[in-house]
Amino acid sequence: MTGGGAQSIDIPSATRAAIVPPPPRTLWTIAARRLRRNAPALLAIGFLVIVHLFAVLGPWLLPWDPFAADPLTRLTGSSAAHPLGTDEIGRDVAARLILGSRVSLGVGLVAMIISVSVGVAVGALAGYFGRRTEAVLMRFTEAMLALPTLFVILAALAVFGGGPTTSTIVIGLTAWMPVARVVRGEYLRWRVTEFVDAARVIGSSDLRIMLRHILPQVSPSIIVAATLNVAFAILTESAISYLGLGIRPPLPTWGNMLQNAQIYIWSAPSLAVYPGAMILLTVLAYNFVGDGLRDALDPRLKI
Amino acid sequence: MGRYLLERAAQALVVLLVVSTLTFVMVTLAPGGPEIMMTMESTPDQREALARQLGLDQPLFVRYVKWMASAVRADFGRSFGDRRKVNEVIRERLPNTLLLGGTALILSLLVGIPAGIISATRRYSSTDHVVTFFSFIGLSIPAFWVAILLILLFTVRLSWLPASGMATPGTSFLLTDRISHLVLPAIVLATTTLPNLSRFMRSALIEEIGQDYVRTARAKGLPGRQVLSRHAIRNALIPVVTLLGIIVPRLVGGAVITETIFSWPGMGQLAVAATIGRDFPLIMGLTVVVAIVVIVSNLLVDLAYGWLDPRITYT
Repeated sequence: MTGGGAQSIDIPSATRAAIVPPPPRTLWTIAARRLRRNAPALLAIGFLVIVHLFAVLGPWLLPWDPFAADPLTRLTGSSAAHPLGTDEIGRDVAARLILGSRVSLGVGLVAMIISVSVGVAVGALAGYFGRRTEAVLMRFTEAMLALPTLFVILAALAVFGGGPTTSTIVIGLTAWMPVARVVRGEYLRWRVTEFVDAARVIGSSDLRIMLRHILPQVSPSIIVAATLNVAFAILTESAISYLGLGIRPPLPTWGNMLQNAQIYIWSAPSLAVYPGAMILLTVLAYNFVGDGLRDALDPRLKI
Repeated sequence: MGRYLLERAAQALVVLLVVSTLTFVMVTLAPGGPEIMMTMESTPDQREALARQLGLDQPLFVRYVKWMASAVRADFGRSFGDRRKVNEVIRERLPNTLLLGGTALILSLLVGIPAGIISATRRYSSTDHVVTFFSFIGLSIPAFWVAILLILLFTVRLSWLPASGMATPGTSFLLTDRISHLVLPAIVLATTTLPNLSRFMRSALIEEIGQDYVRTARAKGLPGRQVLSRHAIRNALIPVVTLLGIIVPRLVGGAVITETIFSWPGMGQLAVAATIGRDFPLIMGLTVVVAIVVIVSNLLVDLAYGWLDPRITYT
């Protein structure tokens, strides 16, 4: 039945408008509208789309080889052959920056997936089951939270060695605690609601209730946490790779491209600028998007 | 109160136990552990001798108990690198890190709290937007890059400040010399904690300003400035104290990067060297000591919180 049926009855137009239902206002459409009004977040999303497109397609589209060293043209400024110049062994900086974006963003995203998965699992179990489970899991979370992350990461890298895989896993496994805390709080809140009682009454298993009924309610918080976690992971990767303990050259990342910047700070200061600016802008964009999403999805702000 | 203290202390001990066990397990399970120091030409006898010397020939459980027993007495064994006692090396480095971290903490409090107050009292003004924007930059900028840029400006271009070490080599101790070496690393370290502080102070104060007692104070005719300084800011500072529990571990972590860049002889720089050299006793000792610093500071923060806010009672 549509609004057409209502039209045949003679009723005042003001009432008729009330009968024809407006398009459904879900959390997501409200959030999308709020986000559209947030200029910094929109700008950040646009920037991130461009950077990720470049990271995926760039190495195929652009003609320069990020590994080809040419000692004769080392540390040149920008030129027609090398738009951003060359590094200390004559490799093209632009090409390395683009391949580096692939590595840095890849590590950031995969580490985020790890930390969010662990955080959601721990938080959901603790919040849903409560009692002993909660006590053990949350004490463990607090213990992990009390650790200075970078020291733990260094200890883990000393033990398992550097490289992209280890670095990603280690970063992911040291960033899940805030997610677990948020998710636990949400599960605590939702497990006592009527729809959960109803699901339990018709015989749904605990797992089904956790995943099918409560998880969708928690997803806004998870999305916000995930976005901020990408920012954190990119920053951490850049720091450990800068120290020479994470991902090592010749494979470029934005962090390890800065490793030698200090040595050549006199002769080629621009080498220090480009990768750092890329890290700053990308992390800033992720933080803006995360913050914008939080504002857009926060039910407490609902009018 | 006494019971609460005991409970918190017990909790801290559990956390410490978890930390040290995790560290021990991680290092023990390491592929190619400390034996990696031996070369390909070492004979089986030599390998065995070194393993015995390092105590690696004993069963895992025995090694764990031994390690814990000596760790309780703050004895973490000897460094694989220069064979010095780990606790001696740490005792040498700890004050330097505390000096750097303390200076950075004071710096970020001195800048972050006023920035948060200005931001909150002039909410949505252009000043607030500027503070917020810089907070976001601070949250997103890699500390080592800030360091590189500051060195580029103040050391390379202007040659105002030194960029390495704690003192000019070959000179005796001079306070001004120490301070000039401290400036750049402390600023870099402070940028990692400053944005959190100012943003937290802003939201805490905004919440206080919305409270009824502030309206009452205004209604009875107290000047706005006095309402702020006597009532709102005091109460807003209380939750900020809890933030120190997050800031201290971050300062310690930030010290790793800052100390490495500025060759500041502290624990962070030591941790990087230990990681490169796969010096397991050293890195284990460092992690445990750092965890103790963090746990104790958390405990102090909790206690201070109750002391500052009489509404909180310990049961």
